[in-house]
Amino acid sequence: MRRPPSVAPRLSPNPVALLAAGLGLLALLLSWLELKPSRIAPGEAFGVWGWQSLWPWVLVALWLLIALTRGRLQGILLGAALLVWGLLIGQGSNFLLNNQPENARVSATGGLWLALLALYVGYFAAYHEGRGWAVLSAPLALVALLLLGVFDRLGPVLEFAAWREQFGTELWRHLSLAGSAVLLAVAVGVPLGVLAARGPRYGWVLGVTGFLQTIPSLALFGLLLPLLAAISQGLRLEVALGMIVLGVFAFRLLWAVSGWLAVPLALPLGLLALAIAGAWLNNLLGPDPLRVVLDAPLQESGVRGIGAAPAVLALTLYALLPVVLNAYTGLRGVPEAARDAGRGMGMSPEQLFWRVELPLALPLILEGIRGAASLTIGITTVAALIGAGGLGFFILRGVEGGAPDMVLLGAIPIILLALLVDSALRFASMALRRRVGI
Amino acid sequence: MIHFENVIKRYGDFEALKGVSLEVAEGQLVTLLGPSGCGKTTLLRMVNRLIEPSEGTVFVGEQDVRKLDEVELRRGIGYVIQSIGLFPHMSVLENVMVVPRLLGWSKEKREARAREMLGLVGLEPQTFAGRFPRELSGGQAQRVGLARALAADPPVLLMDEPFGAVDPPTRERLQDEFLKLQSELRKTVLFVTHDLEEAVKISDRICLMNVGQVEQYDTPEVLLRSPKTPFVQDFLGPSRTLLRLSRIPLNGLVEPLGTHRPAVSIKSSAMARDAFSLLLANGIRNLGVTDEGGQVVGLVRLESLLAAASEEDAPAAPVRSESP
Repeated sequence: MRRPPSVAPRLSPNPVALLAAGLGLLALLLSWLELKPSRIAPGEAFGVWGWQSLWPWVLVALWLLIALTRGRLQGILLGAALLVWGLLIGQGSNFLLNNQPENARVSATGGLWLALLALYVGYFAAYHEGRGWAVLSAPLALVALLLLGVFDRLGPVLEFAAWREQFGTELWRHLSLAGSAVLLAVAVGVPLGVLAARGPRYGWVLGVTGFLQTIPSLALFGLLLPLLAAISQGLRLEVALGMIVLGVFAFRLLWAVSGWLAVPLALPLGLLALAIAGAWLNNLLGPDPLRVVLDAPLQESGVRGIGAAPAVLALTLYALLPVVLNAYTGLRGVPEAARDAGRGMGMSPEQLFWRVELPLALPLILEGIRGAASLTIGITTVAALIGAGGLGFFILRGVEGGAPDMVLLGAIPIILLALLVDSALRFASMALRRRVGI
Repeated sequence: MIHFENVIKRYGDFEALKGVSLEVAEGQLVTLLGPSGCGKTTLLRMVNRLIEPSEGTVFVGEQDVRKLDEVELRRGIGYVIQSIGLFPHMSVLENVMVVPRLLGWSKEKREARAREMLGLVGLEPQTFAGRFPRELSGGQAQRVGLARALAADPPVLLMDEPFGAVDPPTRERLQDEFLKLQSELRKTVLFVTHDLEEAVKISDRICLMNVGQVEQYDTPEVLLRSPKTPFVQDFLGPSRTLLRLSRIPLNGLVEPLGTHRPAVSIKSSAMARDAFSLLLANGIRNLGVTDEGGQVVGLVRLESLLAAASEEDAPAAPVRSESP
């Protein structure tokens, strides 16, 4: 009979949990909050030990326990630590703001963030120990903290209260910009990946998308701005659409003759189509109304040198590489035996693609979309620079006005969004992988 | 049923097949045997047009395959490959239903057929239908591959080293079961292997190939008894005598039981080679032979085995399932 190990786990702590506990304890030595006379004035930093609170001691105890335990218990302890972390912040901000003038603000400083990082690392260990259930305590604790209102007196939350309406709009814009870019990147990128996977003849597809990725985003905006500005003023929408439709037919004809003739035609027209589709899709999904005026220059229909059109176009081009690369890798990874068997049993090339190749490549394609989505949510921030709005708006205003809390009002939601989208798509692709068995 | 007429395949300057003519009669199991790179797989893949010949013609049932639609042609030919090529994202049942689905059978019909096929290859449909290929052992996966190839009841079966990737005991069991199945189904089978023993065991006729040419095309008995070329002699090697014993049924060599009672015995349904191995292993000269009920009914002597093995032109074994 083998006895289940009962003492062993205590003797060999999870190294990741150890790291988390070390970071968590270190954080308690640093300053957590900063008291400022006003939202832009420089402030004074305070550590947790001067707040006449028991919570720091509880946190020390919890970190020690987290370091020593293994298994599901770790998740529960981490949830408790997260709760205490929030309560400590609430208590600290109340303590510091007591007897202060109305304009005074408290903001987070290094120790608070480091403690959060420690919790994040700790959840990695807990996930490893107890799988999905261990992580469940994180959202529970966060919801409890929000209900308790412990963050209500922190700078970014006060900024949020002041900008509530604008925040909603910019968040929506951010999502519509990033969403349109990812949708377009998938619509264009997957077929390109399929093309690239057809053979070394189409190696240029990967070369071009890889090259696009290396252009700095500001430079890309700088290039697109005068170009789109000129087109948007000079070209009527009906003409542009006519050119695109004719272009598709011309492309088909040329493609049959030689790929090298067709590509120079496809690139500029494709970019034009992407710019129009991007602006429209963004208007369709976002808060700004969609306008289509056929007999007027493109700018009347929302395609301008600044704003959503260049933003979505640039973001689409950036999001292209992960999508194309993963579609390519996924299709190249389809086992040759499966392909041979499919062909040998009498599947036509289309049937082989839809029934064998695409399903087998799908988990990797989804991984590519995941990469593209979290990447795009991050870089959509720069869209604010060319007047397309989004959460970057707050970051830009905050930097201009010297109000770090406002920067955080833009930055924290972006990070949360990216993490949320990333984990949702990761979950989907894992479920799919399990189904496909790769 | 399958007929190759002076088939040549060139890749650039390299000639993979140098004019092969071959006739596979209906209901026969013919193996294409030879060392790696002899062109046997290339020849096989020409039947369902996965490879097109540079010159020459391939006929399947009097039809020039080049005049048929390749997709239609392939749906009418069963295809089993070494790495099996089961689709990892489909369940066992879905895998077996692939060709019936391509042929547009109704859902009920193809599912019933797929279950029947799984039973035929010795996989309990209840247990295996819902499994995925990654949950199967090598032998089970190979059976599914065979069930999939048989699903649409094709008259012709192409098998490219189907038992090459499984361990020897499993391989032997699969061979035995496949032989039993074939004796009922009577498909026209073209079977690629590089394993001489496998070829001798299962074939009606063996086509021994080397560097893109047919060296000898004969029944296993004739091939083993009288190799035509030095290459064949070499390929068969010194074990060909033993291999010949593996084609000789024991019944013909049994002598009446005398007063002598042999200590070790063997079933009368075994092959001469099994008896020979048993004699060697026990260091004895006589072996008892038992009937189905386990009753010792006769004996076989080492001398008669030696005689059977060395008789150069003896009509040693009845030639199995030679078509008229």
